[in-house]
Amino acid sequence: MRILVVEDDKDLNRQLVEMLSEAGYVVDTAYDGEEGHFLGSTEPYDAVVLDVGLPQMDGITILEEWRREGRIMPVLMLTARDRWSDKVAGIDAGADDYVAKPFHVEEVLARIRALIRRSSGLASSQINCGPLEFDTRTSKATVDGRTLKLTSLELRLLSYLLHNQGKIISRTELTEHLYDQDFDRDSNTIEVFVGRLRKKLGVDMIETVRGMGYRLQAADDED
Amino acid sequence: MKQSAAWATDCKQRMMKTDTLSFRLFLFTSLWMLFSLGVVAILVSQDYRRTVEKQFEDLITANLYNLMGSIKSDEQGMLLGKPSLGDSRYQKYKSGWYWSVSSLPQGKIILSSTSLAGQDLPTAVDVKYDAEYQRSYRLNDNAGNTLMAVEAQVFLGEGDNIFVFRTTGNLAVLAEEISNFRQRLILLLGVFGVGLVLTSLAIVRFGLKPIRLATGQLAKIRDGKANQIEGKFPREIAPLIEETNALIKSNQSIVERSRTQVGNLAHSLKTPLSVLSMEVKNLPAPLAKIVQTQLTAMNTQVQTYLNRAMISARHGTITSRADVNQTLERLVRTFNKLFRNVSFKMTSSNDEQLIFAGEQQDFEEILGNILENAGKSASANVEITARQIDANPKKLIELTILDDGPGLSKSEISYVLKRGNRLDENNPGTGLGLSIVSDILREYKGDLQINTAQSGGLRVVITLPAA
Repeated sequence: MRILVVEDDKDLNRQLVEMLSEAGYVVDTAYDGEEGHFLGSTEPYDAVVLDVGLPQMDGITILEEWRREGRIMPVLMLTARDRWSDKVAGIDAGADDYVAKPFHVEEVLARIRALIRRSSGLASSQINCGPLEFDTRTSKATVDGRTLKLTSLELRLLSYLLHNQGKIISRTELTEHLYDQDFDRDSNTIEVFVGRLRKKLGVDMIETVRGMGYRLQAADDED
Repeated sequence: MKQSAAWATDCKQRMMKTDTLSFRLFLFTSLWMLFSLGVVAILVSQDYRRTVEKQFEDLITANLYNLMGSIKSDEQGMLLGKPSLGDSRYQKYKSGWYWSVSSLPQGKIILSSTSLAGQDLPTAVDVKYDAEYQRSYRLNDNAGNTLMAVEAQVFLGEGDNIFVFRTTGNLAVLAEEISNFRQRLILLLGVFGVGLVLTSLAIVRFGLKPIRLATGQLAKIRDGKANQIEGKFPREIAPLIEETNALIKSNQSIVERSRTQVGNLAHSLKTPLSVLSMEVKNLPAPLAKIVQTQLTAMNTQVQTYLNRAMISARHGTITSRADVNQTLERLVRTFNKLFRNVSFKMTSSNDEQLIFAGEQQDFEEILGNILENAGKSASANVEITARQIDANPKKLIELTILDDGPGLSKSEISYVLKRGNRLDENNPGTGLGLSIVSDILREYKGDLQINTAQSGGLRVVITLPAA
């Protein structure tokens, strides 16, 4: 899961990045409105944390532009202006949720998780796929009750596949969502990670669709 | 009927105000006009009296000459002649119209008119004769008439025989004529005066109409029905109107600017607070606790005072209006997005347009906080009802927010109404929501009531001033 953080305060930006990375997300970062707008318009993100008060271009304008351009990723608005009129304006501009400053770490994380889940059409924080169970809050994955020991990249890969169950996902898409923008993208490494994840899962759930990509689905769901 | 009564009250209200420009102008022009008319009446009637008296004296003098011409003296000094003055009043008994001829120095009446009838009329002692030995004076006869007498001393016949010829006229005729004239004069001047007063009233009303117009427009602005004073004004007050409009505009922009600055202050304080509170987890436990407590306190303070500043920055501004239904629709849309598991519905009980007599932002702040609480406690539904109630003389908007959650007990309700108290410590929040609502409601003299509905959920009823 790849997240964009647009926040002009350097310390707060760093803290948000640290917190989200610790929680297993790949995080890109922007310090002003223009950069944030550009990244959001060009890169595929699973969620965006967007500050309202930004230099060069304010959060509301960025959001309106994204929605006009047809960018539908969930956006969590960070706002110091926490009068309801500000919140309503943000939601009207296309935000999916808001967090008022100052906030608790857990609150931002919980809301990001909820937004990603909602945008994948999932109702609870527990995602299941056949014998595989995944708790988005604790990032704990089990197969038939057996806890899997996964590296952070494997976790991200599994989480992304689970959030997009049944869909064919290309290597490029996986690369885009698992690595940040500065990563030297080599789709061969994806193959290596998919291989390792298959081994750790122990059940054949990740199908390779020749020439197109991968698909995660429970064995009995297959057509 | 009703209209004329209203007009009468209106007039009364306008007429009774003694501290108005109209009243001053009206009072001073009217007083001056009435004073001048009074002076004119006195001068004209005095002048008239003088003229009439002169004419009267001339008549009596003419009669005297007539008398003197018709009487001659013979060689023995006996007076001859039968004067007929051609006026029947000299024949009428004690008519006040008399003539007599007497000799000096004894003063014995030798000849007299029939009307004198043997009366011994007094003669003036202290009135001097003029160069022609003639004089006039006033006297009273026995019948109580006030008379004007003209008298001349004449040498008649041989020797030093001096005779005094006297004719009199009754002044009552004159008094009556003068009084008639005065009555006519007063009547005419009175009518004229009333006309002038009415004219001055009309002039004042017409002349000061632009000022009344401007006052009316200002009242409209105060009631929020207009932004600027509009209309064409005379050259004398046009600059004043322009200045007032500029002042209103600058006032609005000052409010707007301070609002922006308050917002900026909020932003600039809250980001550092966020950074600090996120850094707390890296501190050793006892220190972390102190810092966290202090950060929370700081945030609460910032929040409270910023909200107060936002409210008072706007309070008393000239124009502020919010369309209730439109704003509610926007809020309902927002809350349906924020609370996916709760359905927010809004019903407006009547079709008429509801307008809140205040800032849209304040309306959103009140409803936002209440709806957020409702959304957190509801299990599936939140219903919002808006209606207008006529509480004479004011109009009010009543908003009812009903959720289908578990509701609150009476003690819980009084607990949540206290600043900073929170029932639900699991969800994030400052506990300031309801106290912010109360602060805003106080500014608008609104009302907030919380009770448990029959269905078991919580019902919040808010009343706000309607425009």
